[in-house]
Amino acid sequence: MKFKAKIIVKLKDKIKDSKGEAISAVLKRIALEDEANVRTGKFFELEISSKTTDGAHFKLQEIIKEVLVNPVVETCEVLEFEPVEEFIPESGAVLE
Amino acid sequence: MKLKAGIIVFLGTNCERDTKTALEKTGFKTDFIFHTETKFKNYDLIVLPGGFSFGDYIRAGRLAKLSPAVFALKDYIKKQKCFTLGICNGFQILTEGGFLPGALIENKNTKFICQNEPLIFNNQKITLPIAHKEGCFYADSNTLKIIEERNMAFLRYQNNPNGSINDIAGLYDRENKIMGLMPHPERAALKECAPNSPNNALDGLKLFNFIKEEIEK
Amino acid sequence: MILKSAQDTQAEKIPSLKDLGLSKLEYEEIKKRIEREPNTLELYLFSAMWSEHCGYKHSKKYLKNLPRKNSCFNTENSGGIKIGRHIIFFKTESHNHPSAVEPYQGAATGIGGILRDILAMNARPIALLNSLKFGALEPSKNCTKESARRNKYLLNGITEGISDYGNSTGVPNIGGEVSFNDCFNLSPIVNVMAAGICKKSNVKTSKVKKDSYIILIGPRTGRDGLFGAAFASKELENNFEDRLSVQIGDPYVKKNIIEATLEILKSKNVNSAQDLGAAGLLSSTSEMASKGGVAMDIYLEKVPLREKNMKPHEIMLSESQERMVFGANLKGVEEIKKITAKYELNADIIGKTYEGNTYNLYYKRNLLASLPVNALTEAPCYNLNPRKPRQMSTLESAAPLTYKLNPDEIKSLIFKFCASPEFAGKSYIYSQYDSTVGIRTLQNPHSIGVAPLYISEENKTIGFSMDSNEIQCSLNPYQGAYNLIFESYRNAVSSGFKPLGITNCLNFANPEKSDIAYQFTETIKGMKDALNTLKIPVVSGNVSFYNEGADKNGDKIKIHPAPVIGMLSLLSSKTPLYAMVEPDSTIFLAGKKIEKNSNTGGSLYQKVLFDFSGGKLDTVDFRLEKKLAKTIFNLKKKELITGAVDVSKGGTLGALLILLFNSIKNSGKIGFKGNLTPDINLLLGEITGRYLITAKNQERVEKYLIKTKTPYEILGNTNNTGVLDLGFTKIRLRELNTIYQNSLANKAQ
Repeated sequence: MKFKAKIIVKLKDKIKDSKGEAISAVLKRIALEDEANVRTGKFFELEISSKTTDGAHFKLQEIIKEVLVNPVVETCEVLEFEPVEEFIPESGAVLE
Repeated sequence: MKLKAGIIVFLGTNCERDTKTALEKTGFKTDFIFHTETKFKNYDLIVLPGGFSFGDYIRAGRLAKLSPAVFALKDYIKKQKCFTLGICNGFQILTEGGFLPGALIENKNTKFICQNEPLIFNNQKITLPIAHKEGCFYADSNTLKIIEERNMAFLRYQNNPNGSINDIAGLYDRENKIMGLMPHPERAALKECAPNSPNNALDGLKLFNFIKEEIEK
Repeated sequence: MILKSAQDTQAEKIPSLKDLGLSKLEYEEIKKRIEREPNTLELYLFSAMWSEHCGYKHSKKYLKNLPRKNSCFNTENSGGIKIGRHIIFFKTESHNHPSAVEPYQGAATGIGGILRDILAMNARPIALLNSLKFGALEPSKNCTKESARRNKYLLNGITEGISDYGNSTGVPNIGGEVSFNDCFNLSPIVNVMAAGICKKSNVKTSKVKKDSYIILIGPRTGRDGLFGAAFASKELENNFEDRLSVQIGDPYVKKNIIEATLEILKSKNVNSAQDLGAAGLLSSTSEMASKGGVAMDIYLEKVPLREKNMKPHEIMLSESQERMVFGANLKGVEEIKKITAKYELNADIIGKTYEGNTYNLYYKRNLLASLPVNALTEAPCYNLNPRKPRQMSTLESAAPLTYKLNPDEIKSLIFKFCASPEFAGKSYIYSQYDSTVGIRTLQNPHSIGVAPLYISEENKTIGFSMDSNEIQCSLNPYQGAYNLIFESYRNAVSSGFKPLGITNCLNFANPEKSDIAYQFTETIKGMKDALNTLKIPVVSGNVSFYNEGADKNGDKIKIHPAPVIGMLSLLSSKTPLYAMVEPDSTIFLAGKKIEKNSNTGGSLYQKVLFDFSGGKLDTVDFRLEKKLAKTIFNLKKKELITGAVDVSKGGTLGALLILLFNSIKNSGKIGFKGNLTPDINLLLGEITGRYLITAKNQERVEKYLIKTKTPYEILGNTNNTGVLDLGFTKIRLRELNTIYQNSLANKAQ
């Protein structure tokens, strides 16, 4: 089975998010929002193959821990995690 | 006998040849170690050079910590009496991989900064080029306390260009065997090119010589 | 032989000639060349190869007039100059149109493209430079609020694109120039230059041998950048759909491509290389066949694709980034596969060459297109119809401005000038570029003099600079271009370097209009005459036409003629001269004396402070230029001068300020005392043939200048007071310097 996961990784709340602050400052300057408190992050969408839901879940946690997140500065949130139909990519030019 | 240094080359590393030149000026014999290798020869020093390993995608240094050579390095350091040095991206890989405490996050101005930077190294003022976008050192208060108590921060900025906590530009591990720093000592090691500061042109060699002396101790 | 492409049989719409950018006459020419009607796919191929971007059809005839002597490989991907046993390759490329719609990716892929040109010669890239031109950052009567906001967005996006991409590839970005003018409001200019080095005996070209396999390496091919060639050959419409044509760069893959290519080209089993740029696979492979004088078959089903349902013309014209093709024998193919596997890249055999002169496209054994190679690669050449626009004569004969200003007014104008983005320091941009990777860079980047680069391979120091002057070129394109070459020459001389050759990037509006045709042909004439005088060649170049757009009211806004030149020079003494001065030195002005009736037309201050562009340009006195160069080189050899700067934008005072600002960082407190005439034109006006030189030993330098009959005057002396004392006014230097250094950052953010 294939599962699709959508994950957001961002800096922990207590850590200064320089990019977020820069965006907040712009929003204030152009008078759209005085206190936007922007926090930025990264979005990942990925597919996991596994026979069981539990197996997929375990794999996802490993991916998050080993690859996507640095626990010293970041946290993460899994937005979506559900089975998907398998997609077989086509290759080569299609003429007909 | 000449000391031997192995320079790990990841895909996307771009300072490996500069580092080789500087190490050879200091008197090391050097080899490149490709990131897929797991058996290292006998080295006195392993260097993780600067660059953008695996595009610095996800975070600087994150994907490189998953390379076979980095896994192998963990065991190698334990078994071998060798010194490890991470420069810029190499420093980022060492923190991501848990070799060194803390983490490096985006510069406070959110931009890449390339300039000569005045620093304090072993109580002396030196100038080294910096060139990074994620060079702001962060550690939580407990970690920071340990860093300061054990004098692990061997290099500090005079004008803190990137927002690093306690002006930290370079760091030892607890055993003083692993060093990581954001500035580029290898870019201040050739007398033929002295970027704008002729007086400090060779400050990078001071650092490499220091490492050499540490190894020879 | 049936030559029907699938599209011909489908109910799908067949593009009109107009859609393809081909004229009726060109269609007739195609029929004549191939002796039959082309099918739709073939028409697409001609459309791309005969576009302005690929075919240079409006410029080729004129570019031939530029001197080439002493350059090498000048018909290849990049030309170069021989230094010792090595060739220094250098070339510029424009990425104006893509950067206007998507600044970040547009600029990034510009860097990517020019690096591949250098790489294809088997040269390791060692430097990047760029020339950027934007509209105003602040609203004015010539620039709306939205326009100014957009210009800031463009500036930041382009800078970030260059920074992220260039830095990642590990090629130092060592300098260039940045300018601002309202004529770039709708059409920003992004010209990038790259340089590389290769041992002469190791140079590879695109000349593919017969019986070679054609191997494509790099990422899969998608629809990105489709019709990019045609895209750069039309005027930009403010149309969101244009974004569809923007390619996406990947600097990480590019870095791998660089290393893989340099490894691949070490093999003698690999005979040729070509990068995939405009018109992708089509342009690269047909050029290879044409240069090699061989026939080529391409098998479309072998091209790895990223997207579904791609049509043959899409595969051939895609501008997916970071791809290269090689010609190799079977052994070479194996070597390429091994090397690309190491760098985690694809490598596929997509074609073969053999004796003959046809270019065939197959899909699973079906022949889809079959054309004589040269019919495709030799685009028709057009004559331009230049006519001098009346308006130009009016501008040139505009009465020189005379300003009656008191010292206080002049003082406040000096502040205003230093704060203008045109004159202000550009470190906001340059500090975002990695300028020191590669350990060759001698100096942090700025726009003064040349950027020196150490070539350990030859134990020599070379210099690069990029220059342009759209104001002067708009007033008199011939003299503007002529003076531009000499401006670059003085940049080299002021740093202690001797010019060796140039590359150019010629940015103009629509050349099919007679006024633009005039600007273009005059520019070429001016360049040619100046280069012949200096006896240096053009080694490579690029032309970008159609840099114009329509504003909200539908009014056409054309850019000023903006030829940009990149110069290679060689250090003639042990160390370079820098635009710096120490306290207790004398500052000399060597060269022409500026007078009340000097031709100072097109001076930057007139535009920046008084919104005036007009007047006559000064001409070049070559004998004087030669004498000044000799003087500077000799004084440097005798170690009598400590610094130098050429006098260009901003005139005498501008040059003096640059010397002092550059020195504040190194010497801490620096001051100046002199007695200058309180006349804005004498202070900031621009004429040719002048340098400021600095010396500790005033007497000996004066003696030398008198002996050699070098015209000079003493501008004043430096001290450590921190005060700029011009005689008629005093200014605290630190205050002025802060404005100069920070102004661009403040205005761009």
